[in-house]
Amino acid sequence: MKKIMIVDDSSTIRNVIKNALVSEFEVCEADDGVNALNAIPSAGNIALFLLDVNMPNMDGLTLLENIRKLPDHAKTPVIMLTTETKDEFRSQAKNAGANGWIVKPCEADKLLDVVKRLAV
Amino acid sequence: MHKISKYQGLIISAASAVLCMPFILILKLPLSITAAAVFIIITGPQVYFLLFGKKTKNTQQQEISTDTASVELTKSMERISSLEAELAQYKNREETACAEFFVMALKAYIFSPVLSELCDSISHNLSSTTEPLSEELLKIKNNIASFLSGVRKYDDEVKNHRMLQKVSEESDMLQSDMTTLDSNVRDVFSAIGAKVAQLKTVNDKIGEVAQNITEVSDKIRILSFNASIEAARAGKAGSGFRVIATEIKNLSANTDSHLELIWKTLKETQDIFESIKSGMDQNSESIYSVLSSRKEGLSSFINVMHHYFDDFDHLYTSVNDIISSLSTSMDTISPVVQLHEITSQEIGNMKLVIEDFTGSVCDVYRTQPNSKPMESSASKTDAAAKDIAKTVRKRLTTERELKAMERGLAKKAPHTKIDLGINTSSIELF
Repeated sequence: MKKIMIVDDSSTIRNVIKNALVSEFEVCEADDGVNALNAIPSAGNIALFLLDVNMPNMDGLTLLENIRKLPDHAKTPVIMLTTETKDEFRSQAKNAGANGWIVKPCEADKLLDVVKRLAV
Repeated sequence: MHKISKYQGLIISAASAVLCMPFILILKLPLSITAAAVFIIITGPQVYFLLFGKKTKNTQQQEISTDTASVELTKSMERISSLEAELAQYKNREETACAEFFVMALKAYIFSPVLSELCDSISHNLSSTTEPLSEELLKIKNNIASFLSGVRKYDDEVKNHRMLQKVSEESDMLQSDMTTLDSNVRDVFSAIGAKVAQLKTVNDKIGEVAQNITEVSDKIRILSFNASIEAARAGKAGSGFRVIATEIKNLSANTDSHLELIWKTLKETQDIFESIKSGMDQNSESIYSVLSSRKEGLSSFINVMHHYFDDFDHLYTSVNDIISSLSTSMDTISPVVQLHEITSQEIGNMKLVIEDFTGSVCDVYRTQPNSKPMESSASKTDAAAKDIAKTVRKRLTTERELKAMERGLAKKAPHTKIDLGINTSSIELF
């Protein structure tokens, strides 16, 4: 079963996403960018990252940049999952190497479909 | 340049007025002439000083005080200017603050229904999820209580092992009966064997008697034979004796024939006894074997029953433990049953607090001297609504929340077009 890492400061959102994916994927989670970066080395083979943009300690865009610096995850798909609708952030994410941008709320079926398509 | 001071001017004016009064009242001169005369009187010394520059000591002192007053006046004028500038600044600030207050009150005015709708949405969502849950929990709780009361009915019986004791007692009695039966059967077989043995002895004695009779019959036959010989020897005299000898011979033959029957009967009786003994031996073994097997079966049955009751006892204890644990768990989660009511009430209270707060902000604004009606500026309403939407949108994550926000905004800013991105595609792959 492929592993997906969810990084979001809201435990509710993490649980909603987890419920949407758990039938098809193994899920691990972190509540901010710093904890996510610390957890990645011991998390094993991660097939896809789902990152919130606005988080304490380290935001999603900074985390994305850091993930891309990791040799094992330079090409791992990253989807930004956020309430941010600003094009500026979207462009920043795209330039930093994100593979998708999902504006919350997103239907569980659609999310699962996208993750299934991108997870490697 | 010499200037007159304010006080000097006042003194001069007062003096002129006093001087003028007699001319006006007594001489009844026209007011214009009087005024001209007074002007000459007042300005004359000034003109004089200006033209001739001769100053008396008093005049010099007056000039010094006039200069001081002039400086003071200048300072005062500058202060007034500064205060006026400051006042203008304050007025400007007041206007800005008033405008900001208006915007703030307007936002509170628009925000209030948004928060109300969000509260209603939460409350509605809560009731649609927790209400069925509460009902189910209540059902489970009742079922547990009902099950528990059903189990409790057997509490005493199981605890005191009444059923087990009864069955055990019955089993023990049955086992005892089986032992008695076994013993009785053995006694009966033994008694029958003894009787058969007795009958055999009797039969043997009859055989001995029959043997004696046979011997007697043989002797009678020999006797009849000897009698026949003696009768033949006696000739005619022995003819009667010959008849008797023949009868005796016939009697012996009849006796032999009866003895043969007796021996045959004795043999048959002997065979029957042998058959009875053999049958008894065989059947007794079979009956003993059956009885023994039944006893073993009963013993196994009793053991099984004991195990069964032990298992049942364990099961009963486990069931009681589970029920007890479930009851404790239900007590722990019982607040969930009231969650809907309590939380709905609290959300309702929060809604009222929000309405009170935003209402009081609007009320405070309305008491301001230059306050405007909230709906007075369409452009400001539009801007405030958009600002609220932009700020709050970031915090909302579900479609339900967004729709609640849309409804709230529509109440106070119905003409503002705000796209919250509810129906637009939210997924973009790069």
